[in-house]
Amino acid sequence: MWRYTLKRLGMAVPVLFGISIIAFFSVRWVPGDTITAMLGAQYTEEQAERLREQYGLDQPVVVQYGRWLSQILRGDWGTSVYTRQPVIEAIAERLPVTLQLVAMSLAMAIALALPLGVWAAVRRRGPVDASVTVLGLLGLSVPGFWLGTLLILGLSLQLGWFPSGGFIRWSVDPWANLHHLFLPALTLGGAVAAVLLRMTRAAMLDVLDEEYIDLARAKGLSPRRWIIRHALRNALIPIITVTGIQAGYLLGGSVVIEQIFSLPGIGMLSLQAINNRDYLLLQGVILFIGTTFVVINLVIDLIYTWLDPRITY
Amino acid sequence: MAHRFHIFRQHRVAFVALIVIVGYALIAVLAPWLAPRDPYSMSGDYPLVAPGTAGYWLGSDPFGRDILSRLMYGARTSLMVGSIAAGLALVLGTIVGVCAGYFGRHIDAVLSRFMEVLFSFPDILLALIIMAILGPSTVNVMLAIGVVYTPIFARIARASTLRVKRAAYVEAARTMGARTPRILIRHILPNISGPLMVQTTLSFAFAILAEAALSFLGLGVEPDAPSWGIMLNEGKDWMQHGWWVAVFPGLAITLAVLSFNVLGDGLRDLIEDTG
Repeated sequence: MWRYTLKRLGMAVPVLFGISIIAFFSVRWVPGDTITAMLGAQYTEEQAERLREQYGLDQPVVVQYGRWLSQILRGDWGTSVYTRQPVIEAIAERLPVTLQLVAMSLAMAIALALPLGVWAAVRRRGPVDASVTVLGLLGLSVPGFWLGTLLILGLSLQLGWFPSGGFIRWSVDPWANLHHLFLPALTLGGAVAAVLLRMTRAAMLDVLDEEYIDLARAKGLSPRRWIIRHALRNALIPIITVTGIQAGYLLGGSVVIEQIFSLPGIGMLSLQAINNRDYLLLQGVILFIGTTFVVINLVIDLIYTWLDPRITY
Repeated sequence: MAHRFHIFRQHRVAFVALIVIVGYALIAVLAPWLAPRDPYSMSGDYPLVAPGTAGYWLGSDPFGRDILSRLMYGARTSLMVGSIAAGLALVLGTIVGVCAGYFGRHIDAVLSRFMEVLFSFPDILLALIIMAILGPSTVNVMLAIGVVYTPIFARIARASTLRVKRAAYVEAARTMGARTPRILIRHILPNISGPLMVQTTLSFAFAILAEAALSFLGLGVEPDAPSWGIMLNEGKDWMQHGWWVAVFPGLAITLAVLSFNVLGDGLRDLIEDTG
């Protein structure tokens, strides 16, 4: 177990290195110059030169990368050339918004998908199963940005039940915080619920074919007992794996959803960084999201081995 | 018997999906002849006309352009981006995956790590970064989406190759002195094509969604191009005055993506049933 954990950790190192290279170099190829974007229309070549020097942009790219990486490892992620805010600070400021959005989406998706998926599998080929299949396919196919737009049109603009966007901190007003995040979380969670629903149904169907389920039922266990204790428990491993992958997907999906609902999260931050040609900020965001993704996958893999005693390494 | 019926029903649904896709393809190809109006022509006299009035079947957008015509031309954009992006991902991913699986060892280690790095970013974010580098254009969207979905194909191709390469017929070909390229093309490729075909169909769905999302964010195709994503982006600020600008483009996307998803599911069942 420990050996596998160490080996798995070791495998993550080259991937993290690769992410840092992509984060750094891809951003160098973004057309347009941060410095001239920063100075606006009227600037002298001298001013631009001085700024380039100040940010080390006049050095060779490899030198810039080496300097950047050593700074990153020391926790200095640089300063946004646009807002003059330290990159780490900008990320830390936006992170709670995205985390809460992702957590609420995931919670909604699980609350919806798990019972429905189990129900569909137990009532295989019945009307429930058919509706769940249709629901799953629809959830996969409806674009989040359209669903979000429609929800805003119907539930906030027409009916006025929810605000159409914006964010209020939990510490300021918990109710308003949840009220503002409900529609975005529903939109983002919808697609994830569809994937989870399909996975839960498929995993449960696999397990229900096993002999130990027949045995459990023959013993006269109550449906609640054999469904939850015997079937669902064994179906959980693929479900948890997919949930973990989806958690990573939610980070990406939040870019679009935050834009629609004007939520000041990591997704909006990355779009701002792209539009402002804000090199260091964009690098920081890419690095942060990539690393988070790798860590999530690592944790999922380890949970996997921990949950399933049949897997040994 | 019930099982048979279920399969039959599933195939029938997949068949309907195929017909819808063919319909989209026909509309895309025939758009210049089918579209009632010029999708680019703006009319100051008819902004936000409700569906069915003044000859605008699905209404007009805030600039007075005909929504139906723009949807038809949008099908061109979507299907073109979808097919080229999915094709690119299929070709790149298969090459990488087959090489990694067949040659193993160092080649596998390097290629797999590289794919893992690409896989370490949420798909939309990676596509956004690539689009930020390349700039908005239809060709760049195809490239970006193709690269983003390459690792999935590589993973499938690698796993399938590992399974197939120990098969008796491959061993036989090798002992009979067949060269490596011949083995790869004649013996490995045909036997791993099933799962790759399913993934290609599903990638079509992803690619259409991704193109629309990128264009929606302003980092997709050219801003004046008729794209469902751009139409939605333009429509969302006006939907209070005319719901149709936001509803129809979304319906077009959903139906197209749904059809590819259903067809992909159907293909997967078919392959699993026939073994």
